[in-house]
Amino acid sequence: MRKKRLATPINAGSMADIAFLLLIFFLVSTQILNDKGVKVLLPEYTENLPPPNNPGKKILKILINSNNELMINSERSDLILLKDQIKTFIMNPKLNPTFPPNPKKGVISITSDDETSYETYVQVYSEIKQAYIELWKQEALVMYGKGVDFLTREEVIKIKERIPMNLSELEKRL
Amino acid sequence: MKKRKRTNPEISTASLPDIIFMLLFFFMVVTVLRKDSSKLFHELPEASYNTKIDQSKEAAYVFIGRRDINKDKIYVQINDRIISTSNLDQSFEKLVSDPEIDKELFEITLKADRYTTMKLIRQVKLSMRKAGIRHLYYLTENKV
Repeated sequence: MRKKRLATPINAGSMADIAFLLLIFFLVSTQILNDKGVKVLLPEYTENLPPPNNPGKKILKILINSNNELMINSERSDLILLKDQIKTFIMNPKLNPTFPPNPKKGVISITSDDETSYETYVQVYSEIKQAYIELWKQEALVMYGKGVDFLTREEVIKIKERIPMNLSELEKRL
Repeated sequence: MKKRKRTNPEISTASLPDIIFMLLFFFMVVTVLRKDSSKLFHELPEASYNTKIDQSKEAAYVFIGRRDINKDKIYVQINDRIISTSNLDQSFEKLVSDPEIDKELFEITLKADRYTTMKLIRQVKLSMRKAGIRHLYYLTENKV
């Protein structure tokens, strides 16, 4: 009995090429998410203006004008100096009377002009955030003797209660 | 001696195109169109300290930039629609109007041009806060 050849011998060698082409297409079209940025927690919205400052609180005033120049507490300053100034202000190691007596009473206020560029604002914000992150890392060592990666959720909350990130953002230059 | 080497493949290769099509359909179904394609030109600001952002939960993208690289007019785009500044409040309200979304966990990624004025940024942030959105990411590039 003669064996009937049902299958035509298709050259299967090019199938591998098709598979590779498909793979390369998807490799190229899929973008690996490379986003990086600064995480912000916006304050809750209230109809009324925020309450006037409690007398106990000391404020570090940061002003950014339309030329993206910085002023900290009415002194002309620069972005590089901001982080250390914030850390000294909040922790007040030398017990300066114009600085807050404890970190809970320290407020950082950012006032930007309408024409200030967003980039300067983000740079200022990221410096402020980094200042607090470094303070929290230090506090973690002091309070718990641990690095930040080993903290439990409750410990993180406690540290942030000790050194809260109090920010006040104002509309226009007063 | 007649050497007859059997080189005929036993496996039928006629079904291989079907397998390829199935793979293709699988990828077509699995690949979801991303919301984060921007219609506007923008150059992200540079910041020294930034963390890697992973947007896994309910999220929306807000882009601020120019439509036409030669003109100066700045537009705001939310997800895939360009919104005028007078409609900002309603647009953000609509984003979180779905009862299945938890407003507390809703995150917005902001990809704004580095030269955007703070006036516009403040407007956008205020509209977000009015809608009850609290988590925001400013996307940046690394400062060299």
